[in-house]
Amino acid sequence: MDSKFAERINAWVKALDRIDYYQVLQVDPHASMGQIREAYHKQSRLFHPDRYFHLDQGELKDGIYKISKRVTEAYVTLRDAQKRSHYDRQLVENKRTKLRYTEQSELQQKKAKVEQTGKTEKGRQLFRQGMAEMKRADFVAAERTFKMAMAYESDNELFKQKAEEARNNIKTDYKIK
Amino acid sequence: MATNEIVIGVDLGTSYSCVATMEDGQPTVIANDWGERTQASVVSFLNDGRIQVGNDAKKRLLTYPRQTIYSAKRLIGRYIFSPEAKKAQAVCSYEIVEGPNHGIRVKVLGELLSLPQISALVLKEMKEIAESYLGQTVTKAVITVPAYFNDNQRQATTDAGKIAGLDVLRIINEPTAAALAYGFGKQLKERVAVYDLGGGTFDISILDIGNDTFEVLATAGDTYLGGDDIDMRLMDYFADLFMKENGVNLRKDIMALQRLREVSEETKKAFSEKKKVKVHVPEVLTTEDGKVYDFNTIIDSETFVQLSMDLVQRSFKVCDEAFQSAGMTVHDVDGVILVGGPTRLPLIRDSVRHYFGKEPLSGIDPDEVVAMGAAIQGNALVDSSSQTFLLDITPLTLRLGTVGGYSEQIIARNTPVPIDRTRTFTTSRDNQERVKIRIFQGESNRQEENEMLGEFEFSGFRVARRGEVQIEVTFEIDSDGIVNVSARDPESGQSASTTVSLSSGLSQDEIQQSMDQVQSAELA
Repeated sequence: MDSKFAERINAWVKALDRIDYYQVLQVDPHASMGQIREAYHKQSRLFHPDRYFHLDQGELKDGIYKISKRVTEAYVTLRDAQKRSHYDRQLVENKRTKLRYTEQSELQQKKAKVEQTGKTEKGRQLFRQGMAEMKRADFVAAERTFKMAMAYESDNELFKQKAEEARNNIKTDYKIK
Repeated sequence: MATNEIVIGVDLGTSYSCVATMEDGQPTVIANDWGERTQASVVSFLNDGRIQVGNDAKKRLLTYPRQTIYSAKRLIGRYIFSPEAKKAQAVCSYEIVEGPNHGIRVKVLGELLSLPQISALVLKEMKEIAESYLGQTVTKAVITVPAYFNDNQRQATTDAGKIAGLDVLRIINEPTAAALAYGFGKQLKERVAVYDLGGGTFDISILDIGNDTFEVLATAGDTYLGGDDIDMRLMDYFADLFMKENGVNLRKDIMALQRLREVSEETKKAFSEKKKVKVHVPEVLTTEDGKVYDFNTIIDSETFVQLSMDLVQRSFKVCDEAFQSAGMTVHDVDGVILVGGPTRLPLIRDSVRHYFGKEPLSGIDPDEVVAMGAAIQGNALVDSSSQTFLLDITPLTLRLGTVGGYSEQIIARNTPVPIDRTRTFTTSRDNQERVKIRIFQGESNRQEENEMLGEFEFSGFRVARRGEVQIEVTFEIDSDGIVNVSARDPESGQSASTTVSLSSGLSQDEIQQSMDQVQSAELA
């Protein structure tokens, strides 16, 4: 292995904490699933420890291993549509200060979702009821239920949105003036 | 940096083992001096202290059942309280006892032996077969394990290699090895499923092959399902039949049972070609009052299918799981590779054809393909000019023990390796000096339904009030599929020291001791 290679590895290791997963895989942020897999193969071919098995233990090998693990991490996150959209949001929300996706961020997302569907027991219950009424196409009842839910949680955007959605679905001829 | 270092690939099977190496750029299976290309994974201890391994050892199963160890792979890396150990204690003709840390030992001629020691003797035999053929010493090896083996089983297999005097370059998964051998040098671009039914385990893996890159997409398995189980079904059927005909329970006679086991395996194999099998066991049992019994019957393939169909069905449930995990259906694969002796059975081939809706790929020897793949991977590691390249995954979810007997997921199954995940913990007591964590592998929330890999204790970080000290614990799975855990204090940057008080595994001292024993063992 020449010194140029060692320099390159070194530069990658140093850059790891400053680049996002798209940069790790060297793909466009709008890359398709197929392009991400292809990039994973390509970057693994460059950095997978098996390709450098013959190297002696040391800084260079440790560096290669470190990059390889990050390549895998990037792939695991970006190949999963849900994780990828969480990650994209995370990049924006944290103004690119958080470049690694963690399961903790997933837990937070889950918590946020629970909050969205209601902070209070009554609110959540009414939300579920409203959704069931929407499914039955009983939009009049649904609107009423969502509005009741809003009485418990006036600042819940989702309740407001659903109430509106229900109202818009109510056909005009059912309205009695 | 092409080298001419020799690496052997060893398929260390439950029933049979096979060794291969690369010759002129092609994987080649090495036969023993008698031309046998697979060796029984059986170790027999002779009264004069010598040890016999392989097909000759298997013949001694009948005459020296208590000194002849078979199916060691079913027990390697397991705890004595595991269902498999319990089952083996009930049916095996050799003695199985508890060892240190709830490990398993076998007792032969008054001596206690660990399972890695037994497997080491098989590996030593394989090493010697290769050396005799190549005319030079062999020290490097790639050994295969079922894809669904957990970390304890992988570690124990690595220990076996060490004890046999081998530098184990890599532990690879059997179905992955089979795919390597199938796709090697063919410039393929396709998706394949590997249906691997061995003597004691079943694995299914789905791979994406793109030129020389082999990416495993998903794997699933059952380490309690294999061809041996079909043998057992036949054996039970024969024993019941004998009981009905003669009113004598043949199961009480260890020798008779061993005879029946042997005949059951032969009968199963015969169904690969025949529709009806005649079973004849002369003098199978001699009772205390001197009465001698023969056993004769004719069994047809319908009865055979009835006896084993539910086992075969179980394998397809596992296949469903793998496809679901890969987000694919059976129609998304271009080919099916069959691995393992039992896949020669028409019963299996027909069922596989039916499930996948296509004819399994032919021209692959199900007994040899895994060892060939291991040889290819061994060569790919030492020869930097090799283009063959493998991206494997971890088959089981890595979990962390939490309060109340629960566990939480750290690294999901079917995640590509190498990978790491870091979790931050805070101290829960004032002046806490140690943090203890337990890690598990498995798919259940409940700790006890998973395999415990070990208990790690970290110390050497700052002592302060509770909640003030943070400890970053990094869980890592390397390219061998082996789990490593390390911890550091992110504030001081100081690494905490780890003590692993685990598992049923062997200590360094025990490995060294076993090495000396096995090296000096005289193979008959």
